[in-house]
Amino acid sequence: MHRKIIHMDMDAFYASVEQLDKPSLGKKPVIVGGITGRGVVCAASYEARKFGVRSAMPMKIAREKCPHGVYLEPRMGRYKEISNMIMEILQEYTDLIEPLSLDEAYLDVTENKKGLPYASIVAREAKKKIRQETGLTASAGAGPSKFIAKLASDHDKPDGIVVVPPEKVWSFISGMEVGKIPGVGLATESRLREMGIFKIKDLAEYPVEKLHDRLGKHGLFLSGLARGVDERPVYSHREIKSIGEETTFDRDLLLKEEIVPILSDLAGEVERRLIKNGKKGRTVTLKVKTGDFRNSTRSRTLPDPVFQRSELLSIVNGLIPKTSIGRERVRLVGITVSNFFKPAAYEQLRLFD
Amino acid sequence: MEFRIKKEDLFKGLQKAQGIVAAKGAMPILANILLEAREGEIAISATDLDMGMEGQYPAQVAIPGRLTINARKIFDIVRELPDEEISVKSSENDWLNLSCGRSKFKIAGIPPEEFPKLPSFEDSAFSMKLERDVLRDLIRKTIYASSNDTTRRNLNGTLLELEEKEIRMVGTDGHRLAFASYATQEPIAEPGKTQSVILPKKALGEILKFLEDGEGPITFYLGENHASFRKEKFRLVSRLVDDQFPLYRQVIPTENQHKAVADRDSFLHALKRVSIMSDESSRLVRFEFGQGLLRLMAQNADIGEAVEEIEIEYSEQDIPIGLNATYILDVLNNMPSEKVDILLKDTRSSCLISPMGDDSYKCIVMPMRLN
Repeated sequence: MHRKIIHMDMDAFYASVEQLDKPSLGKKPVIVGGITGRGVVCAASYEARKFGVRSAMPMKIAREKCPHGVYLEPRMGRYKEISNMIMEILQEYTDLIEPLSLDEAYLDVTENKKGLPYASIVAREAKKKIRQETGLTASAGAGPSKFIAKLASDHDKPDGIVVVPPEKVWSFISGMEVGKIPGVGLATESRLREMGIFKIKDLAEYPVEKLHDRLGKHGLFLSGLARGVDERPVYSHREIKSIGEETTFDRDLLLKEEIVPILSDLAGEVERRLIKNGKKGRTVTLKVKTGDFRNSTRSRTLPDPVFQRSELLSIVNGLIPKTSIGRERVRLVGITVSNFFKPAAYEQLRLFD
Repeated sequence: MEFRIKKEDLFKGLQKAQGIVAAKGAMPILANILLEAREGEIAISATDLDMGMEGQYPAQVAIPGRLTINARKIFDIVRELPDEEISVKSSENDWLNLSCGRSKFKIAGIPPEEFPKLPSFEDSAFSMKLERDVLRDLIRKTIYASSNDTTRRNLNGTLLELEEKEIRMVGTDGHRLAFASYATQEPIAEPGKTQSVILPKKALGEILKFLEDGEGPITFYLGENHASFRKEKFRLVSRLVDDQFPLYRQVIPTENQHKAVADRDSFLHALKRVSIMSDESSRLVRFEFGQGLLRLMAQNADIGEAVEEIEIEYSEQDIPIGLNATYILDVLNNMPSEKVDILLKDTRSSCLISPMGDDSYKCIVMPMRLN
């Protein structure tokens, strides 16, 4: 039997919450993001999107495109509150919910609490209920896998509902650009193009071995998606794989002495979140973006997991000489801890401490 | 500089330098050896700044001089040359011309002035004569337990302690520890004055090679920041690790009352077999000590499982303990005796292994907690 997966995606979530809370905004373009210094757009209302404003766009560019827009700082507490309301609504239908962020989630409704026969009915009911209780609109996509559900929810935004039954999967995806596939970013897309792969159809027909040669494991995964193969389950308790913090400076920094205190703050924040989540990790990664937007990461994997700020900072200090810090203008730095220690069935005891 | 030398002699010196030169790094000169021609001999030096060597080899020197040359290149060349006399000559702009039979090589060098000087501290340092095999045994028995993690500087080496009539070495990586001691005939230090230093692991590897090649006692020098080992015309010098070694005495168990005696070889081979089926990352093997019998068990969800029993001398309470098989195999591989004593306390406490009836060598392994 085919699974019935729904991808529920709130429309311009942060911006919509602001419009909802501040009726005076009316139909003005609303842009939520880092207002000071060099922030980026977190969310743009549909009115703002008409001017070409997009998520993740530097704020400066957004202001050029949409000078008369209303620019607001995000209020994460409020978004979290509404997100919880939405997740509660979704829980009336199934416990198999995998939130991807505050504003989107996968639901496995193959068997649902209300005994509804079709995913389309679940999607319609849930959307309606979200609208009634929060005043916000969502776009829903339903299909036999996460991949199809995600493409479907994206197909008719905002306030859309698209259902792709198993027999329609091929006609739904085959003509789409490969860039539509979640996980195919600009870099992968351009590599695929070089290989003559433009549409999902081209990807599905491309020899798997060759894809593997070019793109490795990721190529195999993408090839499967293109042929409609996506067995990924909906994880109701999504496991955190890494915890990281990064910051973009108000201006590019050249001196190591200026950057180290910032790294120290970031390490403190990472420590706080590691403790909160009860995690320790063996891999520490230092990310550096230079003034000309080149990203690089340097990591170290340790024999024993770490979480303390001082430990993180001493590892990061060891990584600094391998980066552009102190040699080039740096725009952004970040620290991430991953490779979390898993409490195994055994634990090697230590001699000292 | 111009000299002629037997291939064998030059090769010996170049070979010793290979383990020392820094392969790649910020200073290209460290990939080079320093060649110095003096009266009747040449000297070969190499260093990575943490350790260095200097050896002198007989040669017919026509013109004394000095030059540095890539260690790997000259070694590769000399290795392939026939067993004949080699003539070496420097020419303008730091070129080295090397010929042997009908082979001719011209190698680019770096001026000798840039080569770091090896520390020379021996004149005012503590020194003692040591039998090669004494030092070699102490290092071999302990080096395996020291950490390979170069960032944990105090564990990435072994502790050397000199007391009135005892030499001790200790290696540990935090999970296991090896302690070896040797009682000297003659006093080597003033009573009550213990000298403790940490020798880096890389240097110990080179010292071992040095000790294995040749005969007779060597002289050991210990200075503020360096130690060196000298035998006639050869000297190895290492920087000491400037860090605190963990307080190892605290973790050598004294309350392990339950004693088993096992045959080293049968224990080693049984464990080797069983460990094949252990989990690849943890290498966990369950050891069940029972009356007269040790049962070893391993399982790996993906591969399968193994059980093997060996006879041991043991007549106390049953103790199950989970241990990393690699750690125990390392211990057994270094045990010099046919039989070994295994001393246990309980499931959660460390396990102590010694050669039967000999407490000059103690290997301690922390167990894995079975959750």
